[in-house]
Amino acid sequence: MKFRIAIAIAGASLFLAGCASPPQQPIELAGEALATGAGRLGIAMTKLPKVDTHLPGASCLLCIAVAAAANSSLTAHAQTLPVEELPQLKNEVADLLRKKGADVTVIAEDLNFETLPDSASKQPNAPPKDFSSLRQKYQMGKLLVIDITMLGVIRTDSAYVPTSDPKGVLQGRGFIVNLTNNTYEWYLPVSITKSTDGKWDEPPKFPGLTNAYFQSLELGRDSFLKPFNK
Amino acid sequence: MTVRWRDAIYLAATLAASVLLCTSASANANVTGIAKATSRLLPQNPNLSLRLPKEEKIAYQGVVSFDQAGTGSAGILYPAVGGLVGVFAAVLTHAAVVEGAKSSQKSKLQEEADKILEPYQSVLSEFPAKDLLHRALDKVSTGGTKRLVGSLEEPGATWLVETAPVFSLTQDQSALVLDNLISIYRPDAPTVVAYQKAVRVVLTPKDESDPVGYWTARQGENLKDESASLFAHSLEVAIAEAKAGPPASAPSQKTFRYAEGKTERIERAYLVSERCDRIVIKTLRGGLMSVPTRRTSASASDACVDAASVPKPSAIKERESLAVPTTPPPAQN
Repeated sequence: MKFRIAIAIAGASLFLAGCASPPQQPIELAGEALATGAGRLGIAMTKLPKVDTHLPGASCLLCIAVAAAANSSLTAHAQTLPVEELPQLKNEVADLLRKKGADVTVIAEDLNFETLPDSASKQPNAPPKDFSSLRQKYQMGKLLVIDITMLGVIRTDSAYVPTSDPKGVLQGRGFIVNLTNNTYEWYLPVSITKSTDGKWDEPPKFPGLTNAYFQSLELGRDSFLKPFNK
Repeated sequence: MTVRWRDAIYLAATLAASVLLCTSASANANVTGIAKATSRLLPQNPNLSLRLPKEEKIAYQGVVSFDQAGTGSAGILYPAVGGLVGVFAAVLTHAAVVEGAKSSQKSKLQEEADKILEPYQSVLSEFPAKDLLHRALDKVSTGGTKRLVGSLEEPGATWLVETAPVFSLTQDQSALVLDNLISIYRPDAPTVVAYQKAVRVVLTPKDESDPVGYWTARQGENLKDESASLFAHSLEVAIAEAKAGPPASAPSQKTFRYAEGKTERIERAYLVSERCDRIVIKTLRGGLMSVPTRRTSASASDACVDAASVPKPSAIKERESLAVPTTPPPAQN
């Protein structure tokens, strides 16, 4: 009986592992990615996430509740932090690209991946979503997307126990997708964490962590702008 | 005992354990270095007595980053042994082990960072605090008399200044950073802190092909002199604020960029004053920082080039009378 259970667990693990797709690897920005031969280049951002406290590793429901309660004053402060000029990032990238001679259009509305169909392609550097419909919609050949997925403060946990001090965090990715063949031509994962200088536990305003958050914000912006500043 | 009561006790115990583990014991204490509220404290030309520290040895360390510190978020299964008490004990044990690992990791990171000081140990061992303070006092220009007093000596009818300096050398060895906790006592109340401020001064980076050779040349004269300049400047920054008092209107918060060695640093703060290649800012914790800014061609006038390092004492002005450079200030993000 125990042997059958073990076989069943092993089989389920193999099945699930087979379903998992490998993470997208970074792709260097080559000159061809900005070539205007394929049409205009659109620049869009997804909706910025709420500035919040993130507690990865608190994996059970009770763990999440305990971690949330223990960090409630930090969360209350984190949620008041501004995003500064982050929404203007797409305009800053557009300015840099125009200096290089690219024909660029900034898309005003936030891009929502949920409205896009899934991509059936299993080719390398194929995004999980099919962006090709945007070619007709925006009349452009390529789309540069800035997708920020996490903002605020991060503190890793292992079940009920915090395994790090809270740190400022900005995570996301930037990519250029060719709307003709729905393939990435540039892909940059961005993950910035900044620890506090000295103590972190300074309620109610947490000045050290606030500073770390703004440092993450600036370094994150720099990461997205750097490839286009060369 | 029904299952429902058991779950409630388990939840309460775990919540209590987590609150105990996760909150700092110092939640009620002020962060060291945040100044007490001050009006204009010091007169224009205060007579100062600088207290010699009890420790002969000056603290030097390597600049360290704890950005990658932490022991990860690996999952764990608690043993279901001994019922609720057993699980509670397992959580506490887990927490103690993790805290120990975190503390040990940070200590190791600092130890690694401190290895940058190995070539300087002979120089630092011959640089006592008395020498540092003597040199610094000669550089301080605040008007009034200045003298050193022993650790147990009475300051007399002067403003007593106590300091706790810690110097850090950047990993590229191009700059020193001083963190100095400065306390000032009134002449008529030498045991009550009238003003306290954490001041950080970052040296303008040196572009030396042989940094060890530069800092250790002539029995470490450059290292000693620059350390004293930083110390003197930290006193002048604190004294300037103590003289001026709080600003008439609250300045707005901004993000500043500056060079710490060859690395660009970012600080969210309020601008206090700026001149040529250096700005003084007030951090979110209320401390003061004097940092070099990025030099632009517009600010590369002779006056700014001369002040490229820590400003010489004669160039330091009080905040109200600070001359605004005629060239545009360095761009700040």
